[in-house]
Amino acid sequence: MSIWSLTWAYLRANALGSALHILLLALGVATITTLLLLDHQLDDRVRAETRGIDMVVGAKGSPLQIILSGVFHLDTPTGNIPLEDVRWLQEHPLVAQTIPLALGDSYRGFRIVGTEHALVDHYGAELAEGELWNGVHDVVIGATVARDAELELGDTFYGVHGIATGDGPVQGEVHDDHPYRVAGILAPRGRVIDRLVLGSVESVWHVHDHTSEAEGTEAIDRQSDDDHAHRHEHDDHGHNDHGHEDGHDRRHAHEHDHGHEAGTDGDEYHAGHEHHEDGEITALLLQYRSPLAAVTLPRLVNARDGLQAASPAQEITRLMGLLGVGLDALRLFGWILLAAGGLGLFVGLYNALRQRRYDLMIMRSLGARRRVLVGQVLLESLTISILGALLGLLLGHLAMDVLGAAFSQGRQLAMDGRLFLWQELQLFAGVLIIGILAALIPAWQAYRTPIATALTKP
Amino acid sequence: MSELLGFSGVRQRFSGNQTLTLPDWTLQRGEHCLIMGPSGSGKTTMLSLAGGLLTADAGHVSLDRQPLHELGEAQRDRLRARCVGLIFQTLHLVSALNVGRNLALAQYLAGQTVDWDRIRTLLTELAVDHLIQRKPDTLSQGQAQRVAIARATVTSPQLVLADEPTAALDDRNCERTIELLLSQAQACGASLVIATHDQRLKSYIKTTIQLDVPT
Repeated sequence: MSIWSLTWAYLRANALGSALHILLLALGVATITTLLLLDHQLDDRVRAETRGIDMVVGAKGSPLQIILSGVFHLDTPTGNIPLEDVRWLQEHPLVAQTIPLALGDSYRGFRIVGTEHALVDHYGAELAEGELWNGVHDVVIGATVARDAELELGDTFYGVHGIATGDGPVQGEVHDDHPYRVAGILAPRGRVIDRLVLGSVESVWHVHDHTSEAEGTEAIDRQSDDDHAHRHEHDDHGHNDHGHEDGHDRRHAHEHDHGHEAGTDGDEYHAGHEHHEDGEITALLLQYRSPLAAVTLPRLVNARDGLQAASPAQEITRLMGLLGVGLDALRLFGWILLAAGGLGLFVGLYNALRQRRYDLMIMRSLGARRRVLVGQVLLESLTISILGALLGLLLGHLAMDVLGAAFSQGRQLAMDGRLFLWQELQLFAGVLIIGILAALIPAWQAYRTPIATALTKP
Repeated sequence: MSELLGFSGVRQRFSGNQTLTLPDWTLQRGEHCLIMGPSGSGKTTMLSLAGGLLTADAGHVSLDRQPLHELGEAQRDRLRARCVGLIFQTLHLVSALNVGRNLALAQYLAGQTVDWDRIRTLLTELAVDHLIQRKPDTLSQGQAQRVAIARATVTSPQLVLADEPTAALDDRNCERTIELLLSQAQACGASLVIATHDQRLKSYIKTTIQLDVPT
C-alpha cells in the first residue's frame, strides 16, 4: 500500500472516467500540436526557399510574381530580361553571386529550368545517381519528378511548351525535335528542387531555336560540351517568344541595347548578331556582396528599363501580411481550442476530485498526513495530465504526418510530423500546471473542512 | 493503570446556539465505557472530541497524556492514527479499494507497515475473510459492521471509539457485535468507548457516562 497503488486503484475504479479525461485532454493537445507543427513547417519551408537569395531580378512587373515564379516556381514569370542586363548585374561590384533561370517549358507538369550548376548547390541538393548536366541535352531531375514521371537514368523525353504552375500537365506544343536525356537524379531534399527538371540555360534556348533544325540533330551527338552549346546561342531567338506578349514587347524595346553590348563583350551567354532576338533569361537570383547593396542595388536595378528587383524577404513578409488575417484567425482558433481543452481538463479533474473529498475525509480520520493526501491527489491528476499530454502530442504528430502525406501541397513542401518543437515542451508544461491546479484546489478544500462534520453525520 | 483519556471543563457549541457542557471524566487504559443519552445529547460530539476530530471551545481534552488543544491539526491527525480506531455510524470505507486493501490503507496511513497476516487473521476472527476481495459497496449491513470493526482495530489502537455500532441490529446480532468488539479490544489491549442509546449494552460494559439534552 502506497500512494502509487492507491492512485492506481482510483484510476482503475473509474477507468472509463479516467480514459475520457485523458482523451479530452489529448484532443486539445493534439489540435494545438498539429497547428504548431503546421505553422512552423510552413514558415520554415518558405524561409528555406528564400535563404541565400538576397534579390531576384526579373522583367518589369509584380515583385511578388517574380518571387513566386522565380523562387517557388508557382506563378508564371513576368517576362524575360536581356543578357546585357544580366552581364551588368553579374559584373556589378555589389553582387557576389548570380544564378540565371530560363523558364518556358515543362514536362508532365514539372518545370524545365535552364540554369547553372550553382542552383543545385544553392538548394544543397545532392545527386542520388548519375552526374550533373553537360551540354544542351542532359538534364538532372528532382526526386519527385523521377518518381511521378517514372523517369530513370538515361531515359529521354520531350519538353512541352508552356510553364507549369502546379496545376498538372501543360497543354502545349511538344518540342519533339529536342530530346532531353536524364543524366542525373537528385536525392529528395524536401524542397522545390524535388519538382524541377534542371538543364543548362543553353538547352532551353536550343529547344526554342526552330530556325536551326539541323543544329538540333547535330547536337544530339554526345560530343556537345559547353563550348558547343554556346555556339547554338548565336542563332537563338529566345525561348519565350510564343507565349509572353509582355516580354516580347519589352524585348523589342531593348534591341538597340543588345547590339551595343554585343560589341564590348563576347561572354558565354551573349549572342551578338543582327538577328533581333538574343538569348534571354527569365530571372536572375543574386546574392549581395555587402549589406550596403540592399540599400542601393534595388534602386539601380529598377532604374534600368524593363528590370524589376524583388526582395524575397520583403515579398514573403508582404504575402504573409496579405494572408495574415486568415493565419491569425487560425491561430486564434487554436488558442481557443487550447483554452477549451485546458478548461475541460480542469473541470473534469476538479469534479472527479471533489467527489474524492469524502474519501479524503476518511483518510484524514485514519490519520493521513497532508503530504500523503495532497500527494495522492496530485499524483492522480498528474498521471491523467501526463498521459493526456503524451497521447495528445503523439496524435498531433500522427495527424501532421497524415496531413503531410495526404495533400499534394503537403508533399510538395515536404511536411511531416517527424520533428519536435520546443513549444511542445511548453505545451506539456502548461498541461501539467493545469493538472496541478485542478488537484490542489479540491485537496485544499478537503483539508479545510472539519472531519467531524463530514463523517459523523449518519 | 494510567490515564488514556481525560476531559476537564469541556464546553462545546453544537447544533446552533446550544452549548454542550460535558462532565469531567477520565478513562484508564484498558477500561471500557459507554456514553449514553438520548439523541441530541452530544454523544457523537463527545466521541469526536475524544478522537481529536473536533477541538473543544473551552476546557481540555487529553489523549495519551497529550493535551489535544495544544496540538496542531496535523499532529492530532498523527496522534489519532497511532492511538485511535474509529467506528462510525455508517461504514466509511474508500470505495475504490477492496476490503483487504482498505485495512491495508489504514495501516499505511497510521505509518505502520502493511501486515497482510494480521489483516487476514482479523477478518477470519470476524468471520468475513471471504469478503477480502469485495468492494465496500457490495457489503450487507452486518458484513459492513464487521469490516468496520476490523478496520478500527487493524492498527492495534489503544482506544476504540464506536458511534452507535448496534443501533440497527437485532438482539442476536447486537450480542455478537458487542462480543466481537470486546474481544478485539481485548486482543490489542485497547479501551472501548461506545456512544449509544442502546440499553442492551449496559449488561456488557458497566461504566457509563450519562448525557442529557442541554436546555
